Amino acid sequence: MEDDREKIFGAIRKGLREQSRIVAQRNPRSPLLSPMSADFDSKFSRFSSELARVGGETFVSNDLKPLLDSVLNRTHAESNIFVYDEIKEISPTGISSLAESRRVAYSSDLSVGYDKREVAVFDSVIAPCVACIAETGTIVFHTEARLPAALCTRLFVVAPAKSLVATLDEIFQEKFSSFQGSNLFFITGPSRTADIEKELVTGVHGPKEVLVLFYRA
Amino acid sequence: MGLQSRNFKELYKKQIRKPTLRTNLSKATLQAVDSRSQSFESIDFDFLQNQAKAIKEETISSLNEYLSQYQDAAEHNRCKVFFAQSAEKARAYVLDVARSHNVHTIVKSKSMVTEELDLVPFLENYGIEAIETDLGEYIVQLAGEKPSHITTPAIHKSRKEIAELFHDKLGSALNPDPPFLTAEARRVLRNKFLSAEMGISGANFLIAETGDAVIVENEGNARLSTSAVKVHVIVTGIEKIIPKFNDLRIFMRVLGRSSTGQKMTSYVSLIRGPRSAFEKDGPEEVHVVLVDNGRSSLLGTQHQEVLHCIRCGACLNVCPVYRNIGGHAYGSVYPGPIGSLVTPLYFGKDNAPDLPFASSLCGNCTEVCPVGIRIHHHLLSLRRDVVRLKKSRLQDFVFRSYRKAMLRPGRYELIGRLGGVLGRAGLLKAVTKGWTRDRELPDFPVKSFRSIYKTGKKS
Amino acid sequence: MRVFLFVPCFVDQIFPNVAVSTLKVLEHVGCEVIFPEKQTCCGQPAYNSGYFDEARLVAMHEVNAFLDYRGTSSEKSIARFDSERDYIVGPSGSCTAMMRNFYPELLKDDPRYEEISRKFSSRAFELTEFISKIIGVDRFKGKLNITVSYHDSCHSLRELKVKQEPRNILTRIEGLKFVELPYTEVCCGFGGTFSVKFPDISVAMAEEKLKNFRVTGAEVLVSADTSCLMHLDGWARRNGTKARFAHIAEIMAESIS
Ligand code: SF4
Repeated sequence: MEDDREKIFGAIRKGLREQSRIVAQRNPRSPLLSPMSADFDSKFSRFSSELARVGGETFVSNDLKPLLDSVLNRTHAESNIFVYDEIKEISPTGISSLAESRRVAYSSDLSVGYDKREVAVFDSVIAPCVACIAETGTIVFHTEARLPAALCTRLFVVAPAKSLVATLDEIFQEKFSSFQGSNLFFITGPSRTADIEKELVTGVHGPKEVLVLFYRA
Repeated sequence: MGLQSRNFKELYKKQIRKPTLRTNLSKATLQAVDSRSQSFESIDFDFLQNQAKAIKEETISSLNEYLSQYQDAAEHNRCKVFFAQSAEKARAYVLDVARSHNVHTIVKSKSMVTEELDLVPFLENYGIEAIETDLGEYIVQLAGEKPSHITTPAIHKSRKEIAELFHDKLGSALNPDPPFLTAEARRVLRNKFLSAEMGISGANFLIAETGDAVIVENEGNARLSTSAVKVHVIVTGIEKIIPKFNDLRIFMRVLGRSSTGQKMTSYVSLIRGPRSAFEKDGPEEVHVVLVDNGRSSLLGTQHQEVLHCIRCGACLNVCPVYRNIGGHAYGSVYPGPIGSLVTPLYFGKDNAPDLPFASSLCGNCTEVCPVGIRIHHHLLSLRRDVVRLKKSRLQDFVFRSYRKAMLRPGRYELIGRLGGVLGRAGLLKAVTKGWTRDRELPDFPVKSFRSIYKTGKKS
Repeated sequence: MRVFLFVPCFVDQIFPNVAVSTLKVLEHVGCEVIFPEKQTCCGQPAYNSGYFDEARLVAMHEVNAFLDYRGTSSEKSIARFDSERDYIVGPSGSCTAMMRNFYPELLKDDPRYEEISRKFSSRAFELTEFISKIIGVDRFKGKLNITVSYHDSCHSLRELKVKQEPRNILTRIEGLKFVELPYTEVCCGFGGTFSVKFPDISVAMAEEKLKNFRVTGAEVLVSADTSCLMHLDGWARRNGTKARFAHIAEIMAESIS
């Protein structure tokens, strides 16, 4: 089908013919009224309070395995847990002793263009992240398979301490603009809605629980 | 359903009489207003508004260049970009894409542009099931209605009404608890996500520099509609461009706060293109349909800045007129203050002659608009356009007489005093029906200030 | 300090006491007050109804009534308006907003535009704003035993950005108890011709406003705009709601007598 590009561009040119190009004076200063210090502890406390405000939880530890052990307690024996491969690299000693008693699958088990019903069974997902943003309690997310983390009810995000940045300004920079792949997701807390009489309900289409586990490697 | 704005007067009268509507709306909008203000407490709103406005001004003043740049970048990312001047053209293209992939079920996430195009009923006429997956939109679709708010589509409905609707249409138990109702919707829609072949979404921003489409939401339905499908079609307006990736640092901070009082919405998806070589899921094709449908006609006019709008809905929430009559009264997919601008400007002033007048000009909309659109000033100048377009003999006479009186202080005083005499005699009621139906006239004094002043000066 | 008093047309004709009070208050704070008698209306009714040509003519008349003022025979000296020193002050946020914010838009193609905005628009002040910013609130003193709440008119609040000024004035009055109105920033529903074009929406908004007023328990609802008060009073009287509505100038004048 032939599109209307030329017609639309003609109309735009005609409309704008008497105007000169305006260039915005972009001011790089931070709009935040109280600045945040750059040390991990301040960023961490901001991140966890922001995430808690929207119903998520944050943990920190020097060792990932026991941390995973403790949070995986929330899954039950029949849980299906999906683990992104990156986690294996992060925690070479194993995911968690509990995980061994659950049904666990890895992202490497998925074939390209797999049937989406295959991943609808996973209620819990352990996923890596690209970065975390203290200002808003946000996780920046990019993986080889989008669906498991979008369909599950419980999302455990594993984040190296150094991935925590202070503000959004650090994210919308060059470094992240050249990300590889088809998508970059920002996740801030559980899936939620207030469409019915403005009452907040979590777990609409995506995870009802979001836990972020920071570890200092 | 088509545009109904010409019938604004009948429509709003019907809405304002609905007993529960005003209560539902007041509660919901005032809550939104409060959380909006709170969310801006820790951040410099004026700075953000200033920057957002400047960036939008830059974009619109060079719209053709940025559209080209966007197109190049998006095509480089293997998206298919299609420009549609009219609603028909846009619909035809989406249908074409659906047919060429033999699509039976489409999952849709919220998009005002698709509402504007009446896309869902159109696709359904061709036997394609198109399901709204945003909870509010889904409720409205089940009820056979249109959204009444641009970010909270079912704001006009009470939980009880929704429970009855779900009971009727889905056979759910009659339970008005929002968590229960939400779980019901999740159950039904989960199946749709798993069977749909195609997803349709809008886009809040298109980044010219990188070719990304930015989709902002809370429920996770947009994330699924754009991930769990073979084909993803983005339908949006040509004005949604922003120049740079870094500009998001401004827009991300204002959008969530303005619309729902959130520092950040639960999900922001940056869609760069179809599945890449190292990814295992995601759409094989991503189409971007850029719709004009009246937008380019604003360029070069005094209303150009209306194209800055990022559809946050803040102006609806603060609008006391909207709060009393609801979105359906406007007869347009775009209600509230911004709707009273966009509707006549996109779809023709003669199709919505009353909307620019449906405002007390309190200016609250202008105050909260994150991109600095002087909404009430635009309403005012649209009033002039409407007056020129639709001659009213009576009104013309009234304002001619007003002018004549006001240019001659003697005549003005005479008329004023005559009015006072008639008023005291109770003879003004008939000519001030609009006022006196629900309100008393003031008491008319014997002397005007100027005559008191004159007497005082002489003595 | 010399003030050229601006009196909105409906204040002049229907609420003269507001203007008398304004005059009294201005003199109380030490101003010499002149009332240019050729003034009529700021042009807002026509402007808000889309009749820009009519509004423009009336606006020009109003501007000239001040700028070309040459005094009257009853005045001893000829008091010409001096835009470097004199002020135009009126008891209305709305009409002041028209003069300050909307004249520049309405008259932007007029050859005298520059002159008007410099000499006229920038010299126009709303009463409480004038007293706070130009005179200094401490020049005003009063005493009145009364409980009041305050309604911010939209034009005062959003066009003139006047919010604290009337509160500072009211709370200076000895014996006066001030109670903040819930949702004070929401419009009362008057809106000029809006109030008769869409009366049902307009009164629904009045109803809301008065509901909030009742919560305060105050005796008087005070505002800097008579138009809002006329609308609210009209609704209250029709619906048997007992309340007094008073312009801030009236309360100030009462407190100094
Ligand atoms: S006009 Fe402004 S406030 Fe209204 S929806 Fe658009 S961006 Fe938001």
